[in-house]
Amino acid sequence: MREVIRVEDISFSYGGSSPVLEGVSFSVEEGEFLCIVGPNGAGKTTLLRIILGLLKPLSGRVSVTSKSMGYAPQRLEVESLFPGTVWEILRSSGGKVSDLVDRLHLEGLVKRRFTELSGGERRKVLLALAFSSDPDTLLLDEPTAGLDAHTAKHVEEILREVKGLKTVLLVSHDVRLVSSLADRVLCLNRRVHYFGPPEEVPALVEDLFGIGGV
Amino acid sequence: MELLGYEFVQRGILAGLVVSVVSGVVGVFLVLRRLSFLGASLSHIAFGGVALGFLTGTDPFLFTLLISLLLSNLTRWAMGRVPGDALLALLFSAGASVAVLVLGVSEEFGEEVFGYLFGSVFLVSEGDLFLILLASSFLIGFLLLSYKSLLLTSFNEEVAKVKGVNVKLTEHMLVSAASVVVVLSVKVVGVVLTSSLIVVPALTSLMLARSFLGSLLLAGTLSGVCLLFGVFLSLLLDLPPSGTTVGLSTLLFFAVLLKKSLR
Repeated sequence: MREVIRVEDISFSYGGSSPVLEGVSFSVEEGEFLCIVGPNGAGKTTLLRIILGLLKPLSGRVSVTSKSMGYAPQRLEVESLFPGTVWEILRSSGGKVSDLVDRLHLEGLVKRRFTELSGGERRKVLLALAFSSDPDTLLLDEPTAGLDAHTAKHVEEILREVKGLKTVLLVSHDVRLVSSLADRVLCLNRRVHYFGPPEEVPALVEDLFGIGGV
Repeated sequence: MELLGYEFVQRGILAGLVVSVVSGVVGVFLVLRRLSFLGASLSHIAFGGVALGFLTGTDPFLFTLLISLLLSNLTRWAMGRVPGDALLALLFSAGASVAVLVLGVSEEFGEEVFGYLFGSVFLVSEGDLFLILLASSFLIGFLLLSYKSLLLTSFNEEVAKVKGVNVKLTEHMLVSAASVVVVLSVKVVGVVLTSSLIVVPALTSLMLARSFLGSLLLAGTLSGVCLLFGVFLSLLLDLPPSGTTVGLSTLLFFAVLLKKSLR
């Protein structure tokens, strides 16, 4: 398997405050489903943003050989007056909008302004944005958080469909989801506490972070 | 209304219409990128540029355009390093101070320079109209070519970056477009009212539009309609056209705001 992401000994802090990430190293292979788990403030989102090139690490190196990446952030700041509809946003981000609409059941949302959507609806659109232009690698930051049970199940089905076909980095607190989807798991709390197969994750997460997932 | 038969009035209306429509459209992007005050700062830079142009004997229009392009891009570059609003306030004062200094050194072209403070569509020459049409064509071309990048950057900078948009380049192009719009607007409505011509119709359209494209079309339309009504009102009541245009546009904004607030 070809390595598509290599993170080597990276450290990061916001504005000189205490480090968010320290000496983090791991690699991701093509087509691998890597789940990143850890408590709030563990640096999971920061790590994704560094891999995407949105933040520069203070030290260490990140190399990405994947041709294209799709990103579904946990939340998004959008100017309240922004008038763009879901259709316009997806169309501008590339790919075939009608396919995305069908795949993510966005039929009722496409004509609405993004700023009028609820938190859960926004999350679905952000997931569609990640899938637009059919990227090789997906970086998904808690894509099922805040979704109703039916939609969360649907998102889980989509993740199962892409498993093995795309490289996926999934940040999640849902230990059941992580155990069932991950090829490997990265347990993060500022440093890497575990990087390996998912079998040991439930006990490990409970021990390390005191979280049992959903 | 027989004034409408005069060539200078027709020329002024055409120039004003083109400038107001383009200003309204570019204004939408500036408001969404929280650069509304850029118009006010650049118009004062333009004021200083006009004064320097007269002092040095160069074409005030081209001289102002170059200065505005240079300073707006420098400002955009510096925005990540210095608070943006403070930087715009600095530009605002710097432009005005240059104009005051130049007028203090030489009074011989004071009247011409002060003419730029309040502007008038009826002062647009044939040469001005040609430049306005040429520059507006470039602006429309830029907006059409960069539409997707501008939409994604207005939506969210990080999403745009991940989708491969060169956000920095797009923003430099946007502030360059704003510079051109300001220089054109200064001729039509003057230094004092330029920022209103850019921001007010954009703000009104953003409150009403149901889509991004709709907001651009509505901003251009509202701006153009206010300009036409403003000019006709000024001819009827013998008032300055810049004041009536921006006044109507501002009234419309408050009417929409009131209606929205009462819902």
